[in-house]
Amino acid sequence: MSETPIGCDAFDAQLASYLEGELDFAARRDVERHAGACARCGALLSDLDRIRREAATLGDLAPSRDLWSGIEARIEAPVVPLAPRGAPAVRARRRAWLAAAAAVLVAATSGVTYIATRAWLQGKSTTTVASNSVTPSSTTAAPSAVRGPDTTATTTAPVSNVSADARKKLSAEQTYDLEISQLTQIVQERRDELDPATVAVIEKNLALIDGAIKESKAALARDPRSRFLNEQLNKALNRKVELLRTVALLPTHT
Amino acid sequence: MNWTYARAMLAALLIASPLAAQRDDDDYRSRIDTTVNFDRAGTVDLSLVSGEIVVSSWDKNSVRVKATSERGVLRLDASSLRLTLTVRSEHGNLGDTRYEVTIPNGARLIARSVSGDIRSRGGSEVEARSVSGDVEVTDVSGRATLESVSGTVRGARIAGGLRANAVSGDLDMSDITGDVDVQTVSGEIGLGSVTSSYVSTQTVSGDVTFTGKIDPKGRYDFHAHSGDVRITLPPTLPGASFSVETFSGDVESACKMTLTPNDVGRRHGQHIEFTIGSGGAHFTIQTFSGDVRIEGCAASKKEE
Amino acid sequence: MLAAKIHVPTSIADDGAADIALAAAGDRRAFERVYRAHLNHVYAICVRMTANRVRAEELTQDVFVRVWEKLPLFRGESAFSTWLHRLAVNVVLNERKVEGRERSRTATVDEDEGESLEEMGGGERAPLHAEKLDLEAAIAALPPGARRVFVLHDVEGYKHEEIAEMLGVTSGGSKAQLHRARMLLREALTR
Repeated sequence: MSETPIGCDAFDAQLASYLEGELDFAARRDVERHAGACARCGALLSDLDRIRREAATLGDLAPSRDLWSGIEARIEAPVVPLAPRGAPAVRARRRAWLAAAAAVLVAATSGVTYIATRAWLQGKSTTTVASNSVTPSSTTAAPSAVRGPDTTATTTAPVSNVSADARKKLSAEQTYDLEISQLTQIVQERRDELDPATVAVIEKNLALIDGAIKESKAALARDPRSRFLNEQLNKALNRKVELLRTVALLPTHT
Repeated sequence: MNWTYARAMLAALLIASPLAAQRDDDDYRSRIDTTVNFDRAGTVDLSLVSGEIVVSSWDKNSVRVKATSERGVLRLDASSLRLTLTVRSEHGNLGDTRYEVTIPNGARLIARSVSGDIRSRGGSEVEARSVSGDVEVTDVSGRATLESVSGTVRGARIAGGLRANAVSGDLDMSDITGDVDVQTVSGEIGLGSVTSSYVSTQTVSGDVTFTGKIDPKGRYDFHAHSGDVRITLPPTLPGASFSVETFSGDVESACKMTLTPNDVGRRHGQHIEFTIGSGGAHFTIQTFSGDVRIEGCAASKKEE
Repeated sequence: MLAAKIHVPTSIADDGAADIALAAAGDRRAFERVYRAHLNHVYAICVRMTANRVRAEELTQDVFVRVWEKLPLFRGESAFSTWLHRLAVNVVLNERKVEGRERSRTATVDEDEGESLEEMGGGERAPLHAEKLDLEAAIAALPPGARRVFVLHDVEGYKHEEIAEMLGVTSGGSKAQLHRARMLLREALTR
C-alpha cells in the first residue's frame, strides 16, 4: 500500500497508463485517490474517461447518397482473380482488448509460473519453461498485418522463421492459451498428489469458469465491439489462470 | 510431508537452535508444550496437513505452544523474531495434528493447512491459507490475507485491509476496515459493516452482498458472471455515482436511474449510469447474467 | 418499494451468415444485402478517419469492391463484421499513403484540418472557439495523426499494438497520440 499520496505531477504522468488499464493495483489506487482528493485532476480524469466512453458508443453514420450503383458497376467488370494466399487467419477484434490484460497478467505472474514450473519439474528430465516463452511445436507465430493494396490480417510463416522480437508479440489470446495450457499440464500431473475431494471441487469450478468463458465469447461473437463483453471475457480468463496457478502451488495432502 | 510450495516466501532465517520434539508413547506420536520468549513484532509460522490450528493472542513477550500429532513428528524452531512449527510424516499418514498457540498481540501470524481448520484471534498481520479446511480469523490490528479452496472463509474485526480468496468456499466478512479485495469462483461473498474507500469483489457464480459505510471519495467495484449482486446503501449516504452494466441480468434499484442511450441492434445488454444526491463515491457493478439489486438510496427518493 | 425491473432484450443479431456464404459464391443480390447491412458502419469508419465526407463515400465503395474480391477467402473464424472493419481500416490507411505521396510536394499538413471542418459543417467553417462542438465534430477537427489513432482506439476498439502496426509507428507513439487526442477533445468540448 502506498504510504505517501501522489501529487498532480505524478498523476499527470500516470494518467495515460491509468486509462489504458496498465497500472498495477497499488498505482491504480494512488491515481484514484488523488483524483478523489484533487478537483483539477478529478475533473480531468472524469472528462477523459467520459470522452473515451462516449467514443465507444458513437453510432453508425449514413452517407449522403446511395453508393451501391458505383459498387455494382465495378464488380460487374471482369475481375482478375487474386493468387491464392492460403487461409488468412482473421484476427478477432476482441483479441485486441486482451492484449493489455494479458501483458499485465504475464508480467505480474510469469515469475510465479516460472518458479512453480521449475520446482515441479525438478528431478524430471524436461526443460524449464518460462511462461512467456514459446514451445516451438505448440503455437504459431503472432499474426501481423500485411500492408499493401490487398490488405487483410494474415498469419506469418511458422515459428522457425520468427525472431525473438516477434515472439514477444504473441497475441493476447495466445498468451492466455499458453499460460493456461502450461498450468493445466502441471495440474493434471498433480492430480494424484491432491485430495480427491479437492480435485473434484477444482474440476467443478474450472468447468464453471469455462462456462463463463464460453458465454462471454458467444456474446462477443455477436457484438465484437463491446468493451464490456471484452472485459467480461478478460476477467473469466484471468480467473481461470489464477485458479490453475493456485492449484499448481497447492501443498500435497500427504 | 513434502511441501511443494514453490513460492517459498518464508524468508526468515532460523537462527536459534531448534527445540527437540518430545515423544509421548501414550496418545500421540509427538507432543510439545512450551513457552518461549518472543519479540512482540516477530513472525509465527504454523503449518500442518490435517487437524486444527487455533491461535489466540496476549499482551506478553512470549509465545505459548501446545501441539500434538497422532502420527507425525512435530518440529519447533524458534528465535526471538521467528517461530516455526511444522509436522512431518515418518510412516505415511500423519493422522490429526492440533496446534494451540498464543502469540503476542503485535506479532505477525502465518498459518497454513491442507485439510485442517484454522482459527485465529489477534495479531498485527495474519495470513491464513487452507486447501479444504475452514479459515476463521478475527481481531487483527493490521492486514489479513485469507484463503481456502473449498473451506469457508470468515473474517471479522480486521482493521488494516483484507484480501480473501476462495474457490467454492463462501467468504463471510464483517466489520472490516481498510481496502478490501475478495474473490471466489462459486462461493458466496458476504461483506458486512465494511468501512473502506476501496472495495473490489469478483466472483463467477457466487452471489455478492455488501453493506458498509461509504467514503465520498471511495471506489466500490463488484463483478460477477452469473452471480447476483446486492448492495445495501446506508440511509445517511449523501451521494454516490453508479455505473451498472449487465448483459442479460435484471437490474432493480430503489434509486432514480437514467438510462444511457442504448443502440439496440448493435449492442446487447444494458449500461445504466446514475447519480444519487451529490455524487462522490463511485460504484461499478458488472455482471454477465447475474441480477443487480441496489437498496437504500434515501437521498434519491426526494427527487422523485 | 423498488422501481420497476428492467428487462434486457437479449435480441440475437442476425449476422447474415447465409447471405455472406451466397455472396462469396458469386451471388450479387446476396452481396447487395451484405452491403446494405454493413454500409453505415463502414462509412462511419471512413468518414471519421478521413474527416471528409466526399472522400469517405469513395472509400466506402472501394471497401466493398475489395470485400467482393476477397470474400471467398473469408473463413468465418471470427465475426464477419470484424474482418470487414479491419479491411475498411486498411483501405483508408492505404489511401492516405497514396494521397500523401501525391500531396507532399504541394500541401501542408494543416490543410486537412481546414478541409475537414468545412466538410463536416456542410460548407461553413465552424469556429473552433465558439460554442460547444459535439464529439463527432470535435473528432473531425483533430490533427490527422491524433484523429486516426483516436478513431482506431477509442471508437473502433483496436489496441495500440495493432494500431502501431497499421500506422507504422511504435506502440508508445500510438499511446502518446491517443492521449494527445483526448486532451484536445477535452479542450474543444469544454470550451
